[in-house]
Amino acid sequence: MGKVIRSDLFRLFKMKSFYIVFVLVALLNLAVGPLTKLMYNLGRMLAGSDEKALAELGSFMKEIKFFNVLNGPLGRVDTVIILLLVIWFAYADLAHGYIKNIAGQLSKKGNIVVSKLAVSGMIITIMMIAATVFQTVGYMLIVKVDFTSDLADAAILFCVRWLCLLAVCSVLLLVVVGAHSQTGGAVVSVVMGAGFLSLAYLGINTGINKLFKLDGFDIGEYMPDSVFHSALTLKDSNSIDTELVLKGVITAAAIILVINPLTIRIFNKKDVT
Amino acid sequence: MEYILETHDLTKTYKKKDACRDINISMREGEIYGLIGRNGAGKTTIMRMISGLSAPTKGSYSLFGKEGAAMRKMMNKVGVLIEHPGLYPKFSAKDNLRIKCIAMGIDYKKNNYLDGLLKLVGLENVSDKKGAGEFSLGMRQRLGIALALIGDPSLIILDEPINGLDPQGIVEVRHTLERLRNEKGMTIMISSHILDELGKIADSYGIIHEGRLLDQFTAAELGRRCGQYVSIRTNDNSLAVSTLRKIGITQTDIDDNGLIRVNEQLDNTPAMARAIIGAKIELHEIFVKNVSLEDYYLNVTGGEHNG
Repeated sequence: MGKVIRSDLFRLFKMKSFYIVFVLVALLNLAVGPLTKLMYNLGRMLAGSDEKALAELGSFMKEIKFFNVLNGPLGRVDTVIILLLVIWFAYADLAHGYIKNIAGQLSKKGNIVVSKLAVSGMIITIMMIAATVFQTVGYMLIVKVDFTSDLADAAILFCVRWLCLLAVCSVLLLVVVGAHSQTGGAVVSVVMGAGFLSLAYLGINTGINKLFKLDGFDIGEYMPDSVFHSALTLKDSNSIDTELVLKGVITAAAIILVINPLTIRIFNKKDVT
Repeated sequence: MEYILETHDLTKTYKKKDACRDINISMREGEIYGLIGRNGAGKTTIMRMISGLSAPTKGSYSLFGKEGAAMRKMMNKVGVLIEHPGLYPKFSAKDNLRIKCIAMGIDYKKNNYLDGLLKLVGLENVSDKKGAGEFSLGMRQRLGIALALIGDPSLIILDEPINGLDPQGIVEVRHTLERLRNEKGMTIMISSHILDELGKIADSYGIIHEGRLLDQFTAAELGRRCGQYVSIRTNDNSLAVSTLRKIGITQTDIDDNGLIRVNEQLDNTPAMARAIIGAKIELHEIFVKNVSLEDYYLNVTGGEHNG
């Protein structure tokens, strides 16, 4: 298993697209802070001497807590790009037929699927760290970043989002490796990565709330793509919403534990072409 | 262990249609086994099953005397090149090799391992900056063979490995395969349309036709079954046969094309010609025929082939 993962990692770090995506994620996140400031300044300029508008705009933040940077390190565009990279990587050996050189010689063919999930985990780890670092640097260019906030909570936020994104990756691998559909994978990555499923969740919520006479049930609180993009803090923005985090973690873990063995099963049954 | 590979009623069915059925192949250690058959005969399907890339619908096979899970553990001793070589087009030849080396746990940094592999297939002068996608078909085939050789496998399965190679390349691959068999004791299963080339290296053959293994024989058996014979065309075959009997030639047949086939006294064609002409029979042609693998293949399958 370790050998296959090492081989896949070698391949990942040889892919130009990996570095292109890294640079894109870095630039997009570096720009977050300065763009926020730019938008604020534009708002002030447009407000002119309108005191009401100026009051609404308020004053620009003087500092930002590192905890809050971590509460939203990846934008929707970044997420889609990263998920597309996962698809390119996972589908490349199938598309080029390289898999024929290896699959038959492994004692467990399913190791290929596990390896792809492991490397997907590595991709999102690197990209999320890059996003956090560059977003922090971007903020440091315009305001003071307070690193004294609770780093344990910050780490939890990072891990929860990572797990949610890994769950999305396991769904992608089911489509790409299990069903051999790169196009299907691309569609899923755009829909889940950009959060388009939230529209479907609204409809599902209405249906479930009506059917079970519930009030305020939100399926989005359980779905990894939705949890990934949500603010996971309480209203004060300074502490984690434990309930929301737990729901996200349990569902993401469940999705990984169910879907990954299913992908392995389908992959084992299919002929390698 | 008498056989390194044995298949037992190996069958693969796609959408209720048998791609091959009841295949029973036996391969001895150290031999080169040639799999012959036209396009779509089922050669690749058989090779894919033996390579572990496709599961049989029915039947089983053993490798190195083992079956099931024990056999799966030994699959790292099998190298394969099935259909066209699977390569990452943007990666260099060495990077393509490195990826498999790492997956198989081979220390490629030792003893210029990759250089040795590339030299073996004649790609030692290829630039490391050139992606495999820029290679010619022949170069890709060679790199595919190099990939199959990673880890010094005991058995290599090569599906049409000389496809796209120029005559020089074909000779080089033949020499490489002979060297692998003679020096490293590798067992090789190879399929090819170029039957003359296969005839030069294979020790055993299997003829696949419409998904069935029609015949399986060694090179020595092929020689005994076919070998040489005298082919005679006349206007009166029955009179010619009885005339030949008078000069002591009794091992004669009339083949499907209406030619007399004489299986003895092959160096005595002048006497045969004199006897036939002396009996006032029109002799249209008489010559010693060498039966090639291709002739034998056509005879067994009863038709043309597209190789």
